[in-house]
Amino acid sequence: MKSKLTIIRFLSILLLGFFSSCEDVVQIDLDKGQSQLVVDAIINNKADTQNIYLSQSIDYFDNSGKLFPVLADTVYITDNEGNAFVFSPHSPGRYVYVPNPLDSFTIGNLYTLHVRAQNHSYVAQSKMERVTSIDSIGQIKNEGGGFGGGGTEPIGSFVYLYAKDLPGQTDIAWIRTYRNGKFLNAVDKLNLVYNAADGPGSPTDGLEFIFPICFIRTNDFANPYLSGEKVKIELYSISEGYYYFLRLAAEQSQNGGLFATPPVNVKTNIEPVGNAPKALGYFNVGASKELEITID
Amino acid sequence: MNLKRKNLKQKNIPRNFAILFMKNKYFALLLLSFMATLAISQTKVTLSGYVKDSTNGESLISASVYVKELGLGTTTNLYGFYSLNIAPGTYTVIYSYVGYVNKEFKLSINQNRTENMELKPTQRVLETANVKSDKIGQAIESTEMSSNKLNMKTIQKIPALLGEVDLVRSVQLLPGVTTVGEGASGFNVRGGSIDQNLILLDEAPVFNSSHLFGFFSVFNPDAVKDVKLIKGGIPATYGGRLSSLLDVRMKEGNSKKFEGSGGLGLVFSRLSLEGPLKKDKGSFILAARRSYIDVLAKPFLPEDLKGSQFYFYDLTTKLNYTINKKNKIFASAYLGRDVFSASGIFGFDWGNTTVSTRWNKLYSSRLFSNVTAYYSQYDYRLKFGESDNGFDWRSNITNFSLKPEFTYYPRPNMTMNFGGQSIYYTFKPGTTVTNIGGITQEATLPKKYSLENALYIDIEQKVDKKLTLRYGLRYSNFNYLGKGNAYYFRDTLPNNRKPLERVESFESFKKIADYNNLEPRFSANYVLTDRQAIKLSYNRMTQYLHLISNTTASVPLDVWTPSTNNLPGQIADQIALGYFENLKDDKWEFSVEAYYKNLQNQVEYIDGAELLLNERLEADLMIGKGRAYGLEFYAKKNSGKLTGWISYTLAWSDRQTEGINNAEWYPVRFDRRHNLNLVGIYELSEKLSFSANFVYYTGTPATFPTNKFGHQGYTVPINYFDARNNYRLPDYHRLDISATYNLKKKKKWESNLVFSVYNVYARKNPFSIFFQNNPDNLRETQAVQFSILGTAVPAITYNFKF
Repeated sequence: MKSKLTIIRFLSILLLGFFSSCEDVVQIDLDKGQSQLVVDAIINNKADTQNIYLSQSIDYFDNSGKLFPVLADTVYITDNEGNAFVFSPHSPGRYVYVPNPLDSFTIGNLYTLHVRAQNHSYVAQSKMERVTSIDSIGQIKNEGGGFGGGGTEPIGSFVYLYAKDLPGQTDIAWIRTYRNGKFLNAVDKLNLVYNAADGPGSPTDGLEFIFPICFIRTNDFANPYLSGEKVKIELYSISEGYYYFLRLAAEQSQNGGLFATPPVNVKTNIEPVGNAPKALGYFNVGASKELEITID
Repeated sequence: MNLKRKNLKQKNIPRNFAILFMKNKYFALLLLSFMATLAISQTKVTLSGYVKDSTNGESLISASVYVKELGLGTTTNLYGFYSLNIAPGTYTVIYSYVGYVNKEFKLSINQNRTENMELKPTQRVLETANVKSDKIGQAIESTEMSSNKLNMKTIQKIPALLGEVDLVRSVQLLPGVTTVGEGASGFNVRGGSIDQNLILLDEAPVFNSSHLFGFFSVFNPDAVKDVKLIKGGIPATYGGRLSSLLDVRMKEGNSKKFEGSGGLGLVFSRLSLEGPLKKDKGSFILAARRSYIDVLAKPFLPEDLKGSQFYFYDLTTKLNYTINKKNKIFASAYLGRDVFSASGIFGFDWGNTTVSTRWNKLYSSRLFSNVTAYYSQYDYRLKFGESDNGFDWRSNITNFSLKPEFTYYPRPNMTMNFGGQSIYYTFKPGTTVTNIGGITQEATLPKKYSLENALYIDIEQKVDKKLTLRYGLRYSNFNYLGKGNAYYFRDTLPNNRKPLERVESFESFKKIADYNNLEPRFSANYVLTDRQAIKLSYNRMTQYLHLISNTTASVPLDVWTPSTNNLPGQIADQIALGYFENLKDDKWEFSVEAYYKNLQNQVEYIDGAELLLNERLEADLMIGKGRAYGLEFYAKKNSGKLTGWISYTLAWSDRQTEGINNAEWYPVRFDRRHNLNLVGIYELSEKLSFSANFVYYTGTPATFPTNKFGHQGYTVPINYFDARNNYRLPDYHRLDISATYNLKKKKKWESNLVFSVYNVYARKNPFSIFFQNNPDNLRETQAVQFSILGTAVPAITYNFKF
């Protein structure tokens, strides 16, 4: 699927250049859908502050930048051992929990999120899966001599991730790359690893992460890392459901051209209780491992 | 040759047929009783032979042979053969073919007589005007409906993109045929998806008919003799796809003298050579094309893609040899490839290969047979990275087939076709080789195998002067075979991945699942007057191969997959009713047809389906149903200075699938309500001709979001109503023009220059509208209309013939 995107980029260039294909921003009168509750609950097992964000979905063309936080009555997580983790209001729509070293989230446990807001209740479940560790992060210096055939990348360094999938079961992780502490969240850099590859297609259980994962999506080729910069790579375990949620979300936002797939709604795991209206968003509790280097 | 014949006759056919017969006693009984009634001997004689072009010896398909005194006639078959069984006597026999000078003879036929006839092409279109006045026009007389024959001469005159004559793009100008847009592979016929067209090149199926994604088709116009599209009332002789048959017949090659033709264009150059192997006994044709877009496009490419290659080529060749009066053999081959690569980044290439051999045998003047054996393959390869650090993926579909068919002429008013076909398929969904730092990992998705068999009988019968019937039955049988794993899934909520229940492994050739279908076919023609006819047809078609694709335009990476234990064969029933009228001595043909098509077992995809490299692909597929209906108007002017046609189609095509669009009907992505095509060719003088075509389509349906939300820094669009195809893109319309100037003939060298402008008024026809974050301000979202052509495309082509 990811490979398809690369081809699409190539084709777009071909089409633009040769057939003078063009893209124009157009105004469209869209149907009005109702606003829905959005739960953004991505939790890890680090000792850092854990956040849950509640908001409202907005009209697609609402570009006002206005936020629509949702105030909840209660936000808490329980586990299968009878523990409860209560999130407290921090700012409008943001709920936080500061773990203490003894009771942080644990691999193998099943967690249930409970949200009560707007007179309705919602639950969601997530099991924390294991995650492999990073062996090392390599640096490749680009002297301007050329890389990848074209040789136009600016001078600087690229990083290479060395990590190996844990054998024995399907392990899925979100590889998050941070540059000087800032998460690189470009849609085309969404880096998900299913065992050691892009997706469930090829059996790669227990293998080294493959090429596009450990290289293409950990670098911004137009802006190589410079000497002294800090690069941190985090492996964060996710469920299969969340894998597809992220993948579809990224695909939707760069879905165009000749080979577009029909836009579809991402599948949430936030369940309305009783007659509560449907909600959006995702709840995932995952294990996190990271490594940071400084560019030579 | 002897050896091959022995093989064909003694081994494969009887075995496959015996299996079918044993399983279907009723069918066998039916067939035999038919044969018995027909075998009653009659004191009649037969006039038979071949009809050919006198200049190059090409056999003429569907040429008419008409006996004036009896008021009856026949047409030549696909190999130019005809046979008429009549009472002894002296008759006036007229041989005619559109674009050729008639021949009329007084023949005394007192015993079986062979008349091989050569017809001379008319010099100019004008001359065909006053061909026949005492004979009913072909379009009126034939039971054929919902079918269009495209003359290569006409195709060559239609203004073409970049001046390159193209068969599939010309087919798209016919009523009932649409496409999702420029650059989309294939074509859609009466609400059918692109994989529902059986595209045959000299009997061998072509799995991907496109070069350069869909801008051009794989058929080299210099090597094509005859093209016919059948959209309904498909005779029992064909099967395996639901919606249409595009029958492409290659030239046999000039059997009289050596000749060549070719052209130089902006995109590619062509050359074809043909000539006799032995005068009037055998001939060959060899045609080749290669594009040089990569050379031309270089200046437009960004630096990092400068080392890119993208080109395509194809080679088409055919040989035929007449062994003796009763035996003739043909061998045809096609090889084509598209190559796209950016060195060190990725490489992508795909292509079709087909080889078919055919053997015509005349058992008697009343029994003609043809045995086809073919091999056809489609494959692709995708590569990323470099050799010691990269990824390499290959996939293909191959099939072998044997197809014996017989034509029997029992009575002057009856033609019988019967025969069968066996096809053995091998599907290789994907082999991937991953290299990391020199360590190679190979992963192969298991191959899939299947065997498709068919038996058919097809009878064309002239009941009386007014009524002609064509009826037939096709029995199809499909076996999904080992070696391989069969997956069994549990039911789940619609539009969710089905959970795996168990896997069962099967030995080689062990049957995993099978499907059997009877496909009745029927068409009737009732002639009201010499100029008017009403036609009715019904056909049931089944299809056991599925092209797995959920993109707007089909991608060359799309995988063909067989019917399995989870995926039943697709079934379509279509009825069509039409009124046909010829005006002014066949100068004008007019027709109007209404059709209704019901489709079962249509493949749909769950949201976020994993279609590539997925061993459990079937867990991501859903089965829905479909319907398509519409009205087609067609008016064609065959002769005069101005020729051409107008076609208008009013059509609906919908699908319904549990789990999509809240289980309500939704239009398919190639649904176009109105479709208007105008094609005009004006012969100003012998030197100069002009042509123009105009197309108008209603915009295709599309799914647009209503809302959005933020998640971890990403903006996610959402359709609150869970609707599918709830909007339409703006309408598509386009005008193309061209002028052909014949240059002075020098000795044998004939040449012309074709100037063309595609998309004259530079309309930015929308291909799709997509939604994205504004690249200049990621907090904002916007809708972007994508048009493949943003300008008029002028071109010049030089064609020659010697």
